[in-house]
Amino acid sequence: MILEEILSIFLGIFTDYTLRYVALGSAILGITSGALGCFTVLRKQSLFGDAIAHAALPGIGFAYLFAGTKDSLLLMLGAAIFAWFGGMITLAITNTTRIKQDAALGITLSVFFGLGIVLLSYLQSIGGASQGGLDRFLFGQAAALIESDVINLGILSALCFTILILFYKEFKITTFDSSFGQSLGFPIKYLNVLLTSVIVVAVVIGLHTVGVVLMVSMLIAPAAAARQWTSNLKNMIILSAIFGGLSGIIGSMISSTAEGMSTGPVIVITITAILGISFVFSPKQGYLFKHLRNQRKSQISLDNIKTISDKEKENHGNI
Amino acid sequence: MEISSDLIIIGTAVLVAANCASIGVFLVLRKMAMMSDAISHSVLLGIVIAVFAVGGREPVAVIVGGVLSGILTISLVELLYRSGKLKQDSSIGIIFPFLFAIGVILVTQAGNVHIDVEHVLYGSIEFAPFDTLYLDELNIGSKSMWVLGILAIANVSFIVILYKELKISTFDKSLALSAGLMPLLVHYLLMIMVATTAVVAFESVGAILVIAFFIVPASAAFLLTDRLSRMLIISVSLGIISAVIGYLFAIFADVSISGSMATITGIIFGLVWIFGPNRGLVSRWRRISKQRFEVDLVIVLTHIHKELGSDRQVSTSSMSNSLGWTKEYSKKLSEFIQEQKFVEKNTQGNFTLTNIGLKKVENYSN
Amino acid sequence: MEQKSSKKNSESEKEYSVIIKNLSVTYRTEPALWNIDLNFPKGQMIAIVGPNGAGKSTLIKAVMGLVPITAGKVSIFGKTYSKNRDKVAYVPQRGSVDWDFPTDALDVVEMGLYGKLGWFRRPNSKTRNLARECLDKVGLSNYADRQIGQLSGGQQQRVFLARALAQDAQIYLMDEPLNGVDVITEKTILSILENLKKEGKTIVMVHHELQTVDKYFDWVVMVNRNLIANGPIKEVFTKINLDRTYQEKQRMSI
Repeated sequence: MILEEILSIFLGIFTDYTLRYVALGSAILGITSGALGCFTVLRKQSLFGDAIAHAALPGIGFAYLFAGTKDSLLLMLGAAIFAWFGGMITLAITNTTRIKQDAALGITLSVFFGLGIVLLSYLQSIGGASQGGLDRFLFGQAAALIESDVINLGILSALCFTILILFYKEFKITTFDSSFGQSLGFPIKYLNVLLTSVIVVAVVIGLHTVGVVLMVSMLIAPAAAARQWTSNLKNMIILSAIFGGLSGIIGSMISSTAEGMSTGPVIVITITAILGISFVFSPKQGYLFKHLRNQRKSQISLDNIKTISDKEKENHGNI
Repeated sequence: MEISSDLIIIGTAVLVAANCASIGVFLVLRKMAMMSDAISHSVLLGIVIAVFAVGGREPVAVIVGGVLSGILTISLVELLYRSGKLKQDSSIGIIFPFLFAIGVILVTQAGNVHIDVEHVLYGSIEFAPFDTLYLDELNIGSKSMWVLGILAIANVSFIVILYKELKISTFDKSLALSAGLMPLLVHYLLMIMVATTAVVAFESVGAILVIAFFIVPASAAFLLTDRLSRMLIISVSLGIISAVIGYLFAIFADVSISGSMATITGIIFGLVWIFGPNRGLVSRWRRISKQRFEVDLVIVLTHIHKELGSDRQVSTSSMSNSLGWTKEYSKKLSEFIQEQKFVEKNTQGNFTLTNIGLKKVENYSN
Repeated sequence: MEQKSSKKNSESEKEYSVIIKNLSVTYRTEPALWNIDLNFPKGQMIAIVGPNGAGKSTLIKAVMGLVPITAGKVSIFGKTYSKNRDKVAYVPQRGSVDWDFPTDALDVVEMGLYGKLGWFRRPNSKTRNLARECLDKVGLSNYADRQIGQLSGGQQQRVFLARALAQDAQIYLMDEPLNGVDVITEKTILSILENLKKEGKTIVMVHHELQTVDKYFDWVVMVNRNLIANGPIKEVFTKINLDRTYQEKQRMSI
């Protein structure tokens, strides 16, 4: 019975027009933020994504205020500009004052968000246009996605992936060892700017589905989960994209079954569950395998030590 | 007891500001600012569960629920990064959206909680005057003012009683440990105060303004003073000023009160950041360019001194060549050192150091 | 006079791989390096010694333009670094990278070839094989697909050396490669560097242990913000110079 139900929800993706776009949109977000989130996590900038997501909100307000339309591309452009600006402010604060990164992030996040709320409430007060379409960016409203939105998201996502593939080698070296990369002649500054821009685009895509507040989770959780399974950057990015996409699809399916359950929070819970599963079951670093290994280790540890030291000798013998 | 609703709103905001801005000083100094981000979001879950449990918005239950979920957040974050699987910031970024997401779903699923999801973020301070407290049927005034007032007393006593401990454990953990001041206990007490403040403030101004008041005034104060006691006073003052101006602006422009207050904290921070004495961008920029010029000046004089010492001549063009500077900059510097009589030009156009110039070089090398 | 100096330059270029002139690096007002004239002779093992904060790392970073230079010039075989960067290999301090990064030993070594690959070209089987050879030279061929965090400190340092070998350069700038490594690693690194030296390459190493300076190196550079001494070990590695280098407060020499 339950199986049948699940099957019917799953089939809904193909038959139900709305669900199809919701699932597709969420999947696009998950894949993009999953892939790019790997870099934010590896650069120890996890909460940077949180700050720039919040900073995007006034951009949406301004775009709407000046253009007067809810054209999604225009709103996204506004969001992207402010997200960028917020990121730069954060960096500028840490670079020119003694304020540490965490406080700088908090300043950007809360002040920009406050400004965003001011703008949204202003739009509401001048009336005419209901701000109904705008405050969906707080928690995201994948259910409101229409075909044209999904096409836009798809194009942006494709842009992100093109840049990621083209500059993969460069992004990798600047992330792992930036001074070495610089010594090879790669323009680290510009590469960082490019990478930040791509992350901004991923965040802007995410505003549609999970919203400002929960976006950070979509950047970090898939990457953290993927890292539990692999120690290879390329595999990590692929796996993280898969986890992100999967949580988008599963999340939008679950939320479609319950009345009034917003998609964003469900997607976030799904991806966190995937992370939890990865913590417990991943073969390399999971708790389960660690436990099993520890049990066996005590028996064979002596042999092990012997073989390792033999190997070492062998290796150094032929130098 | 009749107080105008404007005054109640301002009073509530001022109390929130003072509570958050004082505790926030320690968050900023301890590099735990983003912990307030996490806590102020995840208290939602505790509040919702508390409301479910007692079937209404009982202040005590709500506060206990909120504080417990705050502690849960801190513990989960620490558990995650102590396990070595994640860095601290990643742990924060995973735990709080997760708890917040659960909270949001619970709120939307249960219609009887009477929490508006959006108001979770930017609060509903507008309604503070209507939420009054009754003592034996007697209206004793705004509930939020009472709760926040009690919290303010708690916070002030916390800071005053544990001032020495907080100070030492903030600036030198190992010293605190060796002096037997139990930095870990102080840490957890502080976190409990943060959670309590976040819950109480959250009720009236929402998650984001809580963060703004925790972090922004304290950061601005950090740019204005080196003394902890002064930083506390400045932080609280800036918080209160932001609350008042923010409220006035919100009424004037008919916009969200809490959003406006957060924006004003940001504007005040921006002003301090740009124009602040000593540490402001303007004076910093002036100082740095002056220092740079001074350093370059000594570099030139040292260079001339060295070259003369090994019987080589220095002219403006040789200067730019050997120091790798642009012709214009070298010219500017060489004109300056002649004006200041640090060097003299001989008939061939080469420089010799004067006594003043020599003294300048020697001064710097000491 | 112009001609004379250029002739002199070309003469010294034959002997020296790196020529540093009037180099000053300052962080704000704090001078990290002050007025340094220094040449690195070809085909020598060169140690840079000095107390903590003396500007040793800054010196090799300044050669590569990794820190902003306040004044002075650096030339690599007569050209600026940006024109001759393929002649320089760099081994940063081990602590400068995150060893939890999801990558394996072979992959790190391959990064040494990214500069030659240039933009958009991807690593291929050729670079992979080259990287494998270099990993083999440092005795780590069995650890090629080991995540770098799983390697011992010494092995990590050897991976870094292998990456520099992959760069196939004329000058090797190394930031404390012998710091805290095991005996085997130290021997391996030194024997490899010895071979490089025989091929006429210049090895410049920030070095901490004063006891081993005369044993391992041909040439020593002693810095404490100023250049204290620079020359063959036998001539300049003296007690007087050491005292001057390590004396508590270093005056800026004029």
